Amino acid sequence: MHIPEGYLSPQTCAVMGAAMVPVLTVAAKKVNKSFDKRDVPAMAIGSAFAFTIMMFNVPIPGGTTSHAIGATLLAITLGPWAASISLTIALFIQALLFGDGGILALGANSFNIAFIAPFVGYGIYKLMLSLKLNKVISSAIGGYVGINAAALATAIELGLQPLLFHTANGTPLYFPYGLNVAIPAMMFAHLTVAGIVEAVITGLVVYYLQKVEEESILYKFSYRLRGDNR
Amino acid sequence: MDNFLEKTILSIQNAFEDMFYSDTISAKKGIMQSLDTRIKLVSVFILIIIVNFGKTIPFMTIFFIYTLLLAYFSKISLKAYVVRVSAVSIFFTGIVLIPSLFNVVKEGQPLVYFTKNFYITKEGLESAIVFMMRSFISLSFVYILALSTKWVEILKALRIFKLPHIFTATLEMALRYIFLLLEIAINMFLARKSRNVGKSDSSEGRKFVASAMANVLIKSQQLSDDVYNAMVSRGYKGEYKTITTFKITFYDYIWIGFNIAFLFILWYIHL
Repeated sequence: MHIPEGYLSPQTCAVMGAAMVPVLTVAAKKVNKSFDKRDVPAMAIGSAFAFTIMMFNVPIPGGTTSHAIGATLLAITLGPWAASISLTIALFIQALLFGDGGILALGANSFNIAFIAPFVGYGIYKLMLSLKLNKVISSAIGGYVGINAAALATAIELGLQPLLFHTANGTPLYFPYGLNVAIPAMMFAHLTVAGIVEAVITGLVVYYLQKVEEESILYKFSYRLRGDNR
Repeated sequence: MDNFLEKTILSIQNAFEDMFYSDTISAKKGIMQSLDTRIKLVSVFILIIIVNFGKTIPFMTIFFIYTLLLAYFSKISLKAYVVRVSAVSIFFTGIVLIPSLFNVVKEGQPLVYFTKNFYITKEGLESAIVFMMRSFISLSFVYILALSTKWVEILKALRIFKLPHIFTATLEMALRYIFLLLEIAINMFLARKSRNVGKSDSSEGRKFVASAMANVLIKSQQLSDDVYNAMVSRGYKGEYKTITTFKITFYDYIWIGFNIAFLFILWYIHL
């Protein structure tokens, strides 16, 4: 899911980075307005949580393993704006200190994983709740759609590279496969495996929290952030 | 079916190792260690941008040698460094790029024939090599920076970019709690592994991973309350101050001068 360094042209990275600036600016404003002093540690620990669960290997049928990104889960817990900041910070630490993903690609990666995934996932979750589905099912569907939206954005960014950046004779300079290859390849993997893993894990976490009656954690921050009085 | 446990334990273990290794290397005396963190951060960023604009094999080769020398003079074990950086940039990228070598993706001058209409092209091979080298060099710079500097210092140095307070404060705190949460997580996985007898199916595994995540979430909730109380008892009023002691020295000027000269020569000989 992470785009490594060198796959995108510096121009693309600049555009994606620039696209994240307004997102993070609004996020910082929203969070500053609705968070109180108590919530700075909560956001820091939210980032640490995002980082930690991205390391968990999830077994899938057939004997191999996959990862979940937990973006929708974090958006349900902290609200999408704060989740966006927390996820960006987790990606930032991965890129700068652990060398996963790239520094230039950080703009694109955070656009996909820290903006598209939590917002789409959260939107779908709210939509499903309004259709009177229960929270476990709603969060699972949110997780599934969220990660697939992020995968689609990733595939489009990669697939645009050979169209936009090539030498005079048409040899691609960066990611060599066009949209016709990148989108089917990414979407096949995410619609069938990664999306289902994300959905199952997100749903199960919510189910487990309900079972141990710690469900309030999921909504403690986000209700206040949304201005709901619950 | 318990290999997800081992894989997770191993990857968490590696994160701890990375941090420990970085502490060891950053305490040594080398080129990168003697520079001011802010200068290092900015120059690495600029060098990565320049490398990503590179298009030719000779250009990449020069930067490839540059990163190897930089790693060597920063007292980084070359073997560990090459293995680590190659994992993504050469092996993973190499597999991704295999189809692009052939004429089916992009027509070009034939180089190696498999059949009459299916061959490796010269253009495909060249751009794959440039691609892998670019990826290798970019990752190298980040890797050398992360190893030669204390992580807390790198995060502190980010303040020169004047990011909003909510980011820098959160970032610096997040790093500390990552290791605390990772430890909680690794203990859960180790405990699960030690109780594992016989075979468990993958659905059981998924349930375990989900409950582990929920457990980490519950713990982090309690933790954030504790941390807040601890901060308040130490005088936290909503402002987050830290003491920085960065100092630009003679070495930093040599480093800047060298890099400007290096880039100027590259530009002058049109590589």
